[in-house]
Amino acid sequence: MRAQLGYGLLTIGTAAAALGLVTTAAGIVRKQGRLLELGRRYVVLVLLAALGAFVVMETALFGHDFSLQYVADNVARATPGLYTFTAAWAALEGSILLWGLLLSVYVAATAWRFRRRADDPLVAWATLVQFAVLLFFFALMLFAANPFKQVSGLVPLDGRGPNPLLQNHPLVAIHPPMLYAGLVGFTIPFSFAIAALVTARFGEGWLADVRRTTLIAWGFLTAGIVLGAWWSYAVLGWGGYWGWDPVENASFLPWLTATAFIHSVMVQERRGMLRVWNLSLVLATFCLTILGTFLTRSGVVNSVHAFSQSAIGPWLLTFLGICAFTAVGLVAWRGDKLRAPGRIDSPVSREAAFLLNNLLFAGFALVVLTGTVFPLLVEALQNKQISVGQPYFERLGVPIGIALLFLMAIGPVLPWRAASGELLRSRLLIPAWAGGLTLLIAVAAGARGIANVLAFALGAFTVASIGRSATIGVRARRHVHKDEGWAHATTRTVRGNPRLYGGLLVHLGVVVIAVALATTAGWTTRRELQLNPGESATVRGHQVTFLDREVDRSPQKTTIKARVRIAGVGSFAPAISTFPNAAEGIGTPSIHTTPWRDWYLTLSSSPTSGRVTIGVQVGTMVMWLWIGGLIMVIGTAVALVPARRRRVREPEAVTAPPEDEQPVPLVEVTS
Amino acid sequence: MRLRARWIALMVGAALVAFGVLLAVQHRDEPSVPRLVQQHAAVPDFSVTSLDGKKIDAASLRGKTYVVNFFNSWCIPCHAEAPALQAFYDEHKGERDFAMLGIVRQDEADAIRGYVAAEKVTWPVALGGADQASLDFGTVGQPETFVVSPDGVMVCGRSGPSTQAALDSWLRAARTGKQCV
Amino acid sequence: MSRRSWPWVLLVAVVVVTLVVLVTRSQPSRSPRARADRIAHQLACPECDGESVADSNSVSARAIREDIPRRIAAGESDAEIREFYVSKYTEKVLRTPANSGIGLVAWAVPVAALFLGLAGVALALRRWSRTPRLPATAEDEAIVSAVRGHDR
Repeated sequence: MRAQLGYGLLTIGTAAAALGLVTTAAGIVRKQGRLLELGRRYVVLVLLAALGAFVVMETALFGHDFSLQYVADNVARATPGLYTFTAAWAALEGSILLWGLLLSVYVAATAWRFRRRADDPLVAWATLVQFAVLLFFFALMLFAANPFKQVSGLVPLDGRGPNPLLQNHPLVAIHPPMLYAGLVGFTIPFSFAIAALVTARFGEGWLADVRRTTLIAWGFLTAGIVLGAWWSYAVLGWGGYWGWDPVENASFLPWLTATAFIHSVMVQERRGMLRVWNLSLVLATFCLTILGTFLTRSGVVNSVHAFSQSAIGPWLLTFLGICAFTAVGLVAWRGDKLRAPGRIDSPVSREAAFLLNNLLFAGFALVVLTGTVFPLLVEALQNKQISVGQPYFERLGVPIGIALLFLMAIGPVLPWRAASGELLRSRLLIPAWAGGLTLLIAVAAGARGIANVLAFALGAFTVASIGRSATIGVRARRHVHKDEGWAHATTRTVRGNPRLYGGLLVHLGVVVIAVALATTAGWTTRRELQLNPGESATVRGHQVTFLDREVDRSPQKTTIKARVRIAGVGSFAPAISTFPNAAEGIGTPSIHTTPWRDWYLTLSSSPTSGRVTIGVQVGTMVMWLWIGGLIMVIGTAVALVPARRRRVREPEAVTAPPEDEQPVPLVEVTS
Repeated sequence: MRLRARWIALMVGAALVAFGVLLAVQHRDEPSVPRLVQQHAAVPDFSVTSLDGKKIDAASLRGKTYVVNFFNSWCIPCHAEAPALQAFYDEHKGERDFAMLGIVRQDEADAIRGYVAAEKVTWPVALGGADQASLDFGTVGQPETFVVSPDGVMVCGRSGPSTQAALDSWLRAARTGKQCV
Repeated sequence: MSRRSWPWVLLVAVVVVTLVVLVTRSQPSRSPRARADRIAHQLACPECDGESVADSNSVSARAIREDIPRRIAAGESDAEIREFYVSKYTEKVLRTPANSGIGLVAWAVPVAALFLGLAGVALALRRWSRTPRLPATAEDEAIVSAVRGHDR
């Protein structure tokens, strides 16, 4: 019953997307606004179908409708409510359904936003592209990855339950949806970029809207990546949070190109330059999300995160090919028209810093892409398997990251066009000294590791320069509005230019993460203890005692828990569980987190009696990775707040970014 | 200047085609013959201790044709191949130049004892020094089976469960110096 | 030296001296334990996806972790130790592409692209700085002052 209902809804969604596509195409060809308006309405139908299908899936999961293959594979009667709910995206078919739902929401929101401009050819073309992408993902569900497939043969009495790794941490409830909301969102900028290329409308009007959507998607993606790292740390039990695994790289790649776009789009807004480059970044970001989905879902790369693999590989590859060739073809066709007569006057200017920033982000993306696909290349050419891992990515990525940190410290204080030495000296002196002193203190305190110490120094540099910009802004406001308190003046200043201050807040989050990356990389102790019950060992001056073990047998799993006490820290219970549907035991780390120190205990071997092997890891400032991520997301939200209209005649210093505005020559003649 | 964007796009397009072909032709089949068997390497100088405390090493087995099987109690394919191993062992255990040895990979003593009892394993099973032996043989999983010829060469073997017929043919090949199938 | 530039000169001096100390101090340690740890991080666990020998809890990783110190004690060099595991487990056991043959491609492509990009940007900046902006003509000035006059 649910199978037919769900499949029916998917069919309706597919049909609506197809009709929307055809109607919009007809409207464009015949130049009829009525048809375009009609086409746009199909979005509502698609959204309702996707929403309905998702609801049907959830009722099937909660109703333990094991006549559906997906339900039988991913929940059991004993699965707790939360993991029954999250089972909707625990495997391939369900995650594509969620992908389709989120995509419909984005497309519907865009349609609403542009409701008065439906007959604008640019919007019409963008809608056309959005329908095409919707059609692809709905067709994928209908023909290759049907979430409502029925079991063949007898309906099982109970399901298999979710993958053990997906049923022991509540982060699975928010990490995948965040990640998808990020990845899916890049469809909208992609559609507008295609539309701009087709209609040859390179005016800057569409840019603002695309920038906002990109920023929303980027914020979700950032949250998704950070939550993924957190999940990895809390669940996988190897003590790390980022392994340069193909699945992680697949989400990091579009993040890098989108970050590059968010920066370089400002050069286009200000100076009308870098149009081809910006469009290429938007197009590349979308193509990279599809590439990532292909790599991780088709089984061509091995990964610890790849929970679901199936035969959708050829579908995704074909779609990727179509998207990439459309994009490259359009840029080749229109590229020359796009070229803007612009110039960068000085290497010491905001736009030059953005240019370098983009070069570094693109370079970073190339490193990640090369490392991810290189094993495929070698396997195809030489028929041997190789692996590319952390040391490769870090040797190439860390220098780029340090260079980016340096740019982040000086970039935001550089003025547009050109900076005089005098100006730079006065703006950078205090921040640069903050960095220099941090370097000195860190080295005097005995810190090792060049990249780690540089991260501290450049972090301090950046924080001081952000603090300086913010203080000047607030001071300037208080100078005019003498009656305002600091708190009020700060809020007002931020409201006056949310984009600037939101951006600075994001930078602050990046600094926090960079510092935490350095502390965790450089100041982590690991020990493996073999202890009999009652025995102790000393780690970092703390006595670690293995008290006893607890064996808990239930039909779903057998859990062996080691009770461990660490003097002065607390009690721990690292465990290993064996599930009937998984061969190897799944370890559950036991973590004690403080802002300064993390104690991370794992059970490495699990005999039911005698000696156990306990892994003890003492990490430094791990928690700040997640806090940094939170700051970045809050900063993104601030940057999305619409700016207050500038009131006429209000003094410049209050509403303008404190020192962004260099007098711009009114006459500029370029050769 | 006009041509530049076109050329870049053309180059990117060509790279994309190559990349697409690369992704499309990928087929991942795990090698089913262990690497050291492919190379016909000499058997490593391993030394293990069986569950009943006997020391078994490469030197003491020299001159025999013997089978080394890596396994553990939680591996499902190991359970699957257990009857074949049992039948194969029962068929050959009377032969003077034949030996068979099970080496445990990543498991606990009590679990292995349970497995040996449940599957009625009658050939020697080694746990002591098993991790080092697993490194010596270059194993990457379980079950993994090696057949060693009298002159100490790993002539045949397989990663993954083996059948009785395959084991028989490998033993014949190891004894006669023929190729394995 | 002008009065305004001495804080900068001092800063540069402090940073250079500190960096020299830092770089000399951060030379990788040659102690057997540090070497073993480093090699374990450079090797991929042969039976897992992506984890290093240092991180993994699998049999092969555990056995290699125990084996490395023995080889160091026997006087083998880091490269010899890595080579030994390659002979056991194929090149898949290394976590970085080789420094020769096709492995070079993985190193060269991103580095070359980055330097080409830098060179391109540097060239463009130089070209722009060589072709100065045309000075405003009297006509331009007139337009500007007219507009300015309108504004006020």
